[in-house]
Amino acid sequence: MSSSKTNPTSSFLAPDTLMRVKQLELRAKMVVEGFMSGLHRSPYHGFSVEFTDYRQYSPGDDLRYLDWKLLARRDREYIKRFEDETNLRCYLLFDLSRSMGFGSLEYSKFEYARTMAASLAWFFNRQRDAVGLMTFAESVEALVPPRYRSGHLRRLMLTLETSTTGKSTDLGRPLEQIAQTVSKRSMVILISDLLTPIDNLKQKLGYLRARGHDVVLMRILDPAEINFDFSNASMFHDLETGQQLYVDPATVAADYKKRFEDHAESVASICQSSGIDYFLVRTDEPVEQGLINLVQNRAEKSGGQQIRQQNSAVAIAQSGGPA
Amino acid sequence: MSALAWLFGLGAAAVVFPLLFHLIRRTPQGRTEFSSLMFLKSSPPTLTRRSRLDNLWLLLLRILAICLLAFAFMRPFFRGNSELAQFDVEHRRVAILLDVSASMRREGVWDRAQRQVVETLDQLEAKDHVALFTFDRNVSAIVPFENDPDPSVGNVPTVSAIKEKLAELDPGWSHSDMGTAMVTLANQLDDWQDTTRSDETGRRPKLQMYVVSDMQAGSATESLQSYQWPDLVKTQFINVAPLANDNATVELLSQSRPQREPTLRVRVANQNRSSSEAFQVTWQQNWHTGRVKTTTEVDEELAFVVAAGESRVLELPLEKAINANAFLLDGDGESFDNAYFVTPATPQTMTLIYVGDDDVDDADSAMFYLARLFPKSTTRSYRVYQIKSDQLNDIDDAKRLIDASTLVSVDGQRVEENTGSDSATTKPLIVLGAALIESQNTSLQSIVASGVTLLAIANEQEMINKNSELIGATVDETNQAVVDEYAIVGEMELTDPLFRPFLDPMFSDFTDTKFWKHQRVQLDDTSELLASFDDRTPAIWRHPVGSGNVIAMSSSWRPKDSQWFLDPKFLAFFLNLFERSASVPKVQPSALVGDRLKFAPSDEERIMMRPNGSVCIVEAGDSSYAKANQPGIYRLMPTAAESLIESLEDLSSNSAVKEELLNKTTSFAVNVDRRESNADPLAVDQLERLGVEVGLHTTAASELAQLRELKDRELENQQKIWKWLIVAAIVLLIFETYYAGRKANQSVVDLAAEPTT
Repeated sequence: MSSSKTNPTSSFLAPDTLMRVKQLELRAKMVVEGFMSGLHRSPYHGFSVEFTDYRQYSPGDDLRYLDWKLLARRDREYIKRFEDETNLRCYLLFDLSRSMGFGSLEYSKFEYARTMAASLAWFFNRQRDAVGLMTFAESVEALVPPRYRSGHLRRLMLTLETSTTGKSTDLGRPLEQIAQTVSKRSMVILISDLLTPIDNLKQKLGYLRARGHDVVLMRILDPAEINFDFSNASMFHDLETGQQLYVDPATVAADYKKRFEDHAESVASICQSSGIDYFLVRTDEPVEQGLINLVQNRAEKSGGQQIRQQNSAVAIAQSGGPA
Repeated sequence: MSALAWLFGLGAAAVVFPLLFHLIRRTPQGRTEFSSLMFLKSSPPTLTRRSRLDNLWLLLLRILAICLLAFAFMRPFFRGNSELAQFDVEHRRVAILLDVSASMRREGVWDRAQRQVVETLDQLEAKDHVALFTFDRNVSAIVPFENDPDPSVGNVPTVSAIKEKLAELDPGWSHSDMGTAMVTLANQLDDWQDTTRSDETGRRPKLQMYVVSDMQAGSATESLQSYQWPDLVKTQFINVAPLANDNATVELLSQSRPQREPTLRVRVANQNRSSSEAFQVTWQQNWHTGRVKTTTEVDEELAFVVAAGESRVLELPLEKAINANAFLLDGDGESFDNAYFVTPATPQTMTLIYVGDDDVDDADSAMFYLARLFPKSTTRSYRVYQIKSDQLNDIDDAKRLIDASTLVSVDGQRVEENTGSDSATTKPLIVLGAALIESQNTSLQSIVASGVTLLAIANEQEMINKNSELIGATVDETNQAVVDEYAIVGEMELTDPLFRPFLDPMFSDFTDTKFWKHQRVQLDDTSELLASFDDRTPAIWRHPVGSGNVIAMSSSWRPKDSQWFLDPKFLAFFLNLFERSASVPKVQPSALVGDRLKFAPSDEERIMMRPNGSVCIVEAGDSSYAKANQPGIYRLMPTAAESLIESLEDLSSNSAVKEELLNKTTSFAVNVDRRESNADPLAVDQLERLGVEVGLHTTAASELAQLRELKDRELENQQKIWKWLIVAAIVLLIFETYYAGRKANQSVVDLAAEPTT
C-alpha cells in the first residue's frame, strides 16, 4: 500500500513543469491521465455511487424493485433501494481571494489551485459524474451548476481559465449559498488557502454537513507560508487588505510558525469534529498527489462503508432480513 | 575666470538628488508581498551606520560629476586683458522735437510733454549730443546742437539750457505740421552726418529723433509721403495725448448757396471717442482768448445734441451776430478750440434816393411803391429819400444833396441820424423818375461815374428824349405803332448778375406780369440789352457810366404802366439791385493762426491791434501782417487811434470814439485751424508706412555691453574649456558606474551567501 502510494509520485509531473503548459484543459488532462495510469496499477477503485439499501417489502411497493434473487434464495421479500441519481454530484468551491495570488515559487497558489480544480473536474467528468463550479472571493463570482453533458467540461474549464483573483475571502457566503440552494446530497470540495479568521467556519461547514453534503476541504498552501523562510527585513504587504508591516523575519519567524500552526490545528480540529475531510496541499507537491490523497481517502471511506454494508447485509441474511 | 552662462551654475543644485537618493536608501524599503499578515507582528527597523559609510564615495563621485557638468554648461573661459574702452563706441546725436501746436493746450498735455522731455534728457548719456526743436506750422530750434562740445563736461550745459528753455515754453495756437517738421529735422541730422563725419572709423553714426507730441490725427503728415527717410535717423514717438478725447469743435461754413433767410451755417463736429453729446452755441461780443464766460454774457443759446463721431450743421440767427465777434461752443471737455471768431458784422443802412416830383401818397406814382416796399430788419435798415427835380441844379448841389445832411426821408427822419458808420461802405441807389434838364443830367452822370447805380424810369417819351445821354437810348421813331394789347417780357438775360436770383426755373417765369404801356427805344452801342418785351423792343438795359451803371427800363411799376408791383419778384429785383449797387459787406472769411493777413497798402503808417490789446506798427506801404499767432480779432487802424483807445472795452462801448475808429478800421478774424481739433490718435505704424524709421539707437553703454559679450563669446570659443569638463565628467561617470557595479555585485554575493526562500 505504501509502495503504491510512493510509486506513482515519482512518475508524476513536477508542478513547475506542469505549470508551464499554458492551456488549463491540457494541464488537467495530463494530470488525470497520469493519475489514471497510476490508478490502474493500484488496487483502489474509484468511488462512484452510493451503495444500495434493502428494505422489507410492504404492500403497495412497486414490484419492479423487488429483489427476486433474494426472494428465490431466501424466500423473503426485500425491496432494493436505489439512490435517486446513479451518478455523483460534485461542487467545486474555488477561492479567488487575493491571498491566493501569492507564490514564492514560479507559480502562484492560484495557478496551482486552478490546475487542481481543473484536474478534479476532468476526473469527475471522466467518471461520468456531474460536476459544478462556484468561484468566490468576498462574494460569489461565478456559478456553474453540476451537469454531465457534452460541452459542460469545456464551460467549466473556460470559467476557471477566465477567473482572476478578487479581493478578500469570505467563506461564509458561498457556503451559505450552497447550503441554501443545493438540496440534493452532493459532494462539496472547497479549494482555498483558508487564510482568514475561522470564527464561524465551523458553523458554516456544519450547515453543509447537516444538509447531508459530503464536504472535502483542500487547503492550498505555499511552502513559504508554512515555513516562513524569509531572510531580509522588509515591508510586508498584505495582498488582501493592503496593510503594510515592517517585519524582520529573523525575529518574528518563530512567532509566525506558532500562530500559523495554531490556526492550522484549529482548522483541522473543526474539520474533524464536523466530519469533514481535510487535506493540506503544498504547492511544491505534484498535483496528482493531492488527487490521489483525495481518492484514497474516499476509497478508504467508501470501502469501509461497503464493508460495513456487506457486514450489515450478512447480518441481515443471518437474521433473516435487514433491520 | 569668467563664464558665459552663469545661470547654468544653478544646475549644480542637482547634487541634491543623489544626496536625497542616498538618504532614502538608508531606510530599508524592500517590499515583500505576502498572502496574509494575520500571523505576523511588526518589528521596528534597525539602522546601522555602516550602510551610510559604504556609499559615501559613490555619493562623492556622483556629486562631482554633476558639478562638473553644471560647470561645463556655464561655458567658462579665462578672460585675458581684453577690456573695452568707452571710445570704442559711437555716441548718439539726439534731436528732441516738441509739439507746440494748439492741441497741446489740452488739459494736462503740456505738463506731460514737458515731463517727457525732461525724462528723455535724463536718460541720455553724458556724451550724447542733444538739441531741442519745437514745431507747429514751422520748426524752430530752441537749443541747437553744439558745434564743439567740451568733452570733459559732456552735454551737461546743453541739457540744463534745454531744461531752462523748456520751462519758459508754452504751446502756441497754430496747426501742427508734423510731417514737415520731421522732414526738416531728418534732413538736418542727415546733413550733419554728410558734412562733419569722416568714415575713417567705419562706425555708423547714431542719429536719434524723439518726437514728443499728442499724436493727433489732424496733424499734417503729407510731407513724409514724398520724402525718402534717411536710414540712419531713427525716430521714437512719445505720445502725451490724454486718454480721454472729450472734444468737439465748431466752425463757420462758407455761404455758397443763396441765403433765403438771414442765418449763419455753423458745423459742430464731435470726436469719435468723446463722452459729451449735449452742446450749446452762443454768440459772444468782444470775446478774446483767455476770457472766462459768464452767464450774464449769454445772448442766445442754442442747445443741441451731437453723437460722438458725428457732426451737425446748425443755422444760427444772423441778427444775433450783430456786434458779436465770436461764437462759442459749450459742453465739451477741451476749451482751446471752442471759440470761432468772426469779423463783427454791423447793422447796415441802405439808402435809396428817388429823384422825381411824385407825390409819396399818390398810389399812381412810382415813389408810392418804393416808399413802402422795403422790409425792416435788424441787420439792415432801408431809408428812402426824395429829391425834387428842382432841388438838383448843378453837380455840387447834387453831391451835397446825396451825400448828407439836408435830405429828409419819406418818413420824416433826418438822414444824418442814420448814416452812421455805413456811409463809407454802402452807396445809395438812385432812382430817376423825372425828365431832367441838361445840367442836372451832367450832375447825375458824374455821380453815377463815381460808382453809384442809377435806375432810370423811361416810360415817357419826354424822359427818354431829355435823359437820352444818361440812359444810353433814344426813342425809336420808326417803330411807334400803337399797341392795344399788353406786352410781356419776352427775353431776359438770366445769367446777368441783375437777374441771377431768378436763374432758377422756379422763378424765371415773368410771363404773368403784364405791361400795359411801354416806350419803344433804340439803344446806343454802349448799352447792353438785359430784357426785351415780346415785341422785341428793349425793356431793361444797362448803360455803363464811368465806374457806375445806369439801369434803365422802358416801362415802370406804376399801375397805369404795368402790373409789376403785384409780382413778388418786384421786391427781389430791388433787393438784388441794392446788393449790386451798395456792395453790401458780408461776414468775412476768417484767416488761420499763422496766416499772413493781407490788406491794401497805405501811404500812412498804421497800427495793428492784436486780440490781446497789444499794438504793433504797420509801416507805410506794407500790405500784409505776418505775426497773427493767436486767435481773435486783429484790427488795422490809423496811428492816431492808439491814443484814443485805452482798453479793449472801449471798442465795445457805443461811443463816439468807437464810431470814428470803426469807420477807418479793417478787422480780421483769425482762428485756430479746425484740423487741430481732430484729436483722434495718429497711429505710429501709419508713419512707419510713410517710411519713417521707428526705433531707438542703442546707447553707448548697452552697445559696450554687447561688444563685451561678443568678445567673451570669441574667447570662450577659442578656449573651449567646456569640452574638457565634459570629458572629465564622462570619465567620472564611467568610474562611478564601475564602482557602483562592483558594490552591487558585492551585495549580491552577500545575499547569495544568505539562505534564500
